[in-house]
Amino acid sequence: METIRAESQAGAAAARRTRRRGWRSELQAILYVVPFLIPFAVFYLWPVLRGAWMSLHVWGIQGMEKYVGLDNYGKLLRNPDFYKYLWHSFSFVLLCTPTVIVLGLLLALIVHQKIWVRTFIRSAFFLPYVLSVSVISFIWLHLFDPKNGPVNALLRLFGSSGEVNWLTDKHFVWWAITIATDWWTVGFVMVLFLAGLQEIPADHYEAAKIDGAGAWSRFRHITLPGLSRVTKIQIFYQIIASLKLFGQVQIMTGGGPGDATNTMIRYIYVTGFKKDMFGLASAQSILFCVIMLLFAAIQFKLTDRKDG
Amino acid sequence: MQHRKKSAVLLSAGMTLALALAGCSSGNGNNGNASSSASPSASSGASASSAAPSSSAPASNSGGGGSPVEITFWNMFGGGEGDFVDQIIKGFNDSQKEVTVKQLRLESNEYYAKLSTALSSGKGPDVAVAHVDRISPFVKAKQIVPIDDLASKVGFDLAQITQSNLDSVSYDGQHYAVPLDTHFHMFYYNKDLLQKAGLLNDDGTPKLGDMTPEGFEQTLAQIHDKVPDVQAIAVNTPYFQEPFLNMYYEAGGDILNADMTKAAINNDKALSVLKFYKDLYDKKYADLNDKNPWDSFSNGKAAFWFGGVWEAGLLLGDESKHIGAMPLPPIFGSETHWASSHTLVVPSYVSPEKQEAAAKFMKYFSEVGGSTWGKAGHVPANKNVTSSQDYLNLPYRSEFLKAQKTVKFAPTTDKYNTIYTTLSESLQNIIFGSATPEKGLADLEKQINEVLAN
Repeated sequence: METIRAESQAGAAAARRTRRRGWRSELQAILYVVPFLIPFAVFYLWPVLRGAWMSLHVWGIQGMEKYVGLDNYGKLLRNPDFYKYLWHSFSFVLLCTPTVIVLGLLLALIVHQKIWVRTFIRSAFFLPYVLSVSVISFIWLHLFDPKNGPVNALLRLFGSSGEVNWLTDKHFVWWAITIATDWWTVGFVMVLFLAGLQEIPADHYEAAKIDGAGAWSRFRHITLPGLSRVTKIQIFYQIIASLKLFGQVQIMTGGGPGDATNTMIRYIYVTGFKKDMFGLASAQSILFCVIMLLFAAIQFKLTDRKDG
Repeated sequence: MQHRKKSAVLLSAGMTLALALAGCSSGNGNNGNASSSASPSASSGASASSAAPSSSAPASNSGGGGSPVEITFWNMFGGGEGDFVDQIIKGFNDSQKEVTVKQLRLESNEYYAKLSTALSSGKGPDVAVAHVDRISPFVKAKQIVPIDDLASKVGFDLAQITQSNLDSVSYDGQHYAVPLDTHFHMFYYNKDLLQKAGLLNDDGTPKLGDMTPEGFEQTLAQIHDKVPDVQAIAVNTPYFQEPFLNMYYEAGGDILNADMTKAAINNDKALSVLKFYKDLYDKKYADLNDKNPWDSFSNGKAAFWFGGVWEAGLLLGDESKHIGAMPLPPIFGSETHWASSHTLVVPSYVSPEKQEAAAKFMKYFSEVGGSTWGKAGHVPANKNVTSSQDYLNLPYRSEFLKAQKTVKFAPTTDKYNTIYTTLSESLQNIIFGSATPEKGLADLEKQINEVLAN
């Protein structure tokens, strides 16, 4: 009896000790996270909460005017412009994400070959990525100039009339933005794919060759599956990046011609900073954020299932 | 291999440099254009600053006794305008020992967000520049002070200021700002191109036809026929709002009704102006796809240009360009046209001592600085300055003064900025054809009414 009690006492003490140790290690973990957590809370979480608070008010250039509850959201959802610019943002995802991924993969495959200019190609294609969005936008603004721009000059060389108004014709303007964006970001996609390619063991290819597999089936059955993880990350990353399109259209087209390239982010910018309607702009941001989170969640679910 | 690698690295480094440099120069060039034509949203794309920027007020200590009072002066002038302001401040600081002015120059894109934060938080400038169409909300919130008493205290006679300017800053019989200038559009023309088209008088002025939209279009058609490789008229694309307002005001229109509670823009006058606008493009008198119309005109690739007086230095300063200027032709009836004005305001939170110091600076800026400011192109608000021989010796300034007599300032609503941005967006949609003029105007009316209802 005594021994049992002693044992149980000892056991309880041990449990207390481990509990204390657990608590202590948890505290330790929190301490490690604090340097990130504090800036995150101050510069990210707080502005988001404040934005949500602002979205419930009429908020002009002189600050809060009145509380209106969910009126801002109602007004937004009844405004056809909101859906139009939302569609613009998503249509850019449909244009830009597939093209940049395919181009990046192609470039990675080329650079992965043992050809003599590969270092040059690799650096040449990666270079634009280090430039800022304003620099690349101004470069392409001049390249796409309908009269004096090199793009139309090139087209004329190939016998076209060279009369394409890239940035003021609504049939071409999205392609112009896509080309500029692809040129800018394809290097990064390529580098990630390249890293993925180097991860695939060479003996798989050798074994396949011995079994008589052709180039296409080696690509189809070894390369592509080998790259599946990096591809998923890239698609995820590119969708988010495309949805955030702002700088290129702001500089190259100003959202034009008319409002043909006005995206969700530019819509928020104009509502807030040009029209001084900060409450409404906050509501737009919160809604757009929720929509993006939804997409992220769906995508996460889908890719998770495939992995399992 | 080693060697090859090195040369590849060198080559790529060179390319980066070349690209970066190209980017820089083109960026700067474009910024310059944008600011010289006052295009509201052409430059500096990614400037999404935070909604409530913290006002960074430099410490300004009020020296008692013999040491000078130091006041802080906020403005948003860049480029050429900024140089003239620097000269005026230096002149003031050197001219007396009682007041020292320190300036803080802010990015024009975020100027009003910062100024209004400063005004509502009570920390910021002692005197600041504000456009006349932006002071309404500040007056309404009692954040800036009336300047009548201050002016008489320092011996600054407001009767020197042009009446239309004084009226533009008066609320309930008191003046809330010192107007520095009036700025508006002039009708610039290229004499060489008009000569070729047979449309130049012997005295170097253009031969314009009937003062109707049709008559003006005939003139354009003649230029289009005789000098086909240039634009008959360059149009500030896509910043249509100011030229639109010029012609709409000429036609006798108004943005809002008399008590500023409803939009008054959905009418036949606006429709006829829009129709004229679309004709300019449809009949190829102007090129809708020209991304730098101000350059096209400045470089002799267009015969006419509706341009701001602030472009005078660039366009009229260089005589080899053979460019002249005259008041906007009254093709829609009257000579009334759009204008704005820079003013100086004093915030309410400023101590009486500093308010008086600020008044001394405002007096100097108007009476002495005015002649410097006139060189920038804006028409000074001080009548003594504009009647001086110095001013009239500048090119075409008598024409500027003629045009200044018929200006129309913005309606004094504190929602003007929102309304103005809405207007410019709607005009882009209409002129680039994504909405018909009728539907576009109806939408615009609805949007303005919504803004006013809030």
